[in-house]
Amino acid sequence: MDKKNKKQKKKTGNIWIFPSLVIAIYVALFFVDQDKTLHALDYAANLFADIVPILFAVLFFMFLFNLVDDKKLKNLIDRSPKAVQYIAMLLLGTFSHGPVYAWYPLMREFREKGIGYGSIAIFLYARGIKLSLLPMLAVYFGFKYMLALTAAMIFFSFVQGILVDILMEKISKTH
Amino acid sequence: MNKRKSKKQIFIKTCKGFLKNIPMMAGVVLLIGLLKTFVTFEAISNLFTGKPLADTALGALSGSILAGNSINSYIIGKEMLDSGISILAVTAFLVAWVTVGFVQIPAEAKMLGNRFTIMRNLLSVILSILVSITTVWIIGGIS
Repeated sequence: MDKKNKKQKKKTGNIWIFPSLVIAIYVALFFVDQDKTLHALDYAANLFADIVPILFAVLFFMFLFNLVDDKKLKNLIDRSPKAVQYIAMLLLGTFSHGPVYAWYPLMREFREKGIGYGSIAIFLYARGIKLSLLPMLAVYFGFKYMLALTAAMIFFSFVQGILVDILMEKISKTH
Repeated sequence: MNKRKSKKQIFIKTCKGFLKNIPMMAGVVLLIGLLKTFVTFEAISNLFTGKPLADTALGALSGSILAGNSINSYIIGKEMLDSGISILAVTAFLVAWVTVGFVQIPAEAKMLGNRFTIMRNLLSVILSILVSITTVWIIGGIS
């Protein structure tokens, strides 16, 4: 029990290392260029405010996902072909909104429930296809370019999923 | 009644798990703020040499380092294109911007594991070059 508590404490401590380092950079930069550093802080604050609704949506999805029975889900995943899992994750990724890091907690839930690394990689890659921004992409770079880029990204999201699954399996076999 | 209680417990457990991720996300957001403010368009465009292959790799790398709203990547990409940087490099830049996240690596590794994160991001850098070549080949930019 003591060991478990210590491990948990160490894990909680690790969470603060990265943000503490970033704050230290801010403090250092504040002495170099006060205006720019404050501008960066202001930009970050606005960005964080922008992603709050997304975070609530992610929390809601995580809750829904946690309601699903682990065994039933595992059975469903085991029974469904990889291709179906890949397509489902591609669609989920394409239709998801907000910054990618807001979706990491949900992806961890997916992983803990048995969804493969390849499928998670497809979700994260497909997030690069921004449906709402396609008109803007077409205006900036042309309609043909927009279509070609979207098609290429869909194709290569599957390629990445397959490669990640193969490589992760190889790694787990060697360790 | 029991079912409702278990839902409540699940909700509390979900909230607790979710809140643990907030410090990492805050770190990522703060880092994006720094990059957005301290790395200018001039600094990015000065990196390019005019050699298509080297520029494509540079496009992929700079897109991997920078982060933020995709709209910004379109604006920067268009300016890069207008200033004479090749469409291959610009496409690699756009794709890497949305698929690779060097800034987000600490948060991703914490939540999804080091091996997966490093592999996924490295593959995404390589694939951004392949997506770029494929896209430009489809639109007829490569003969």
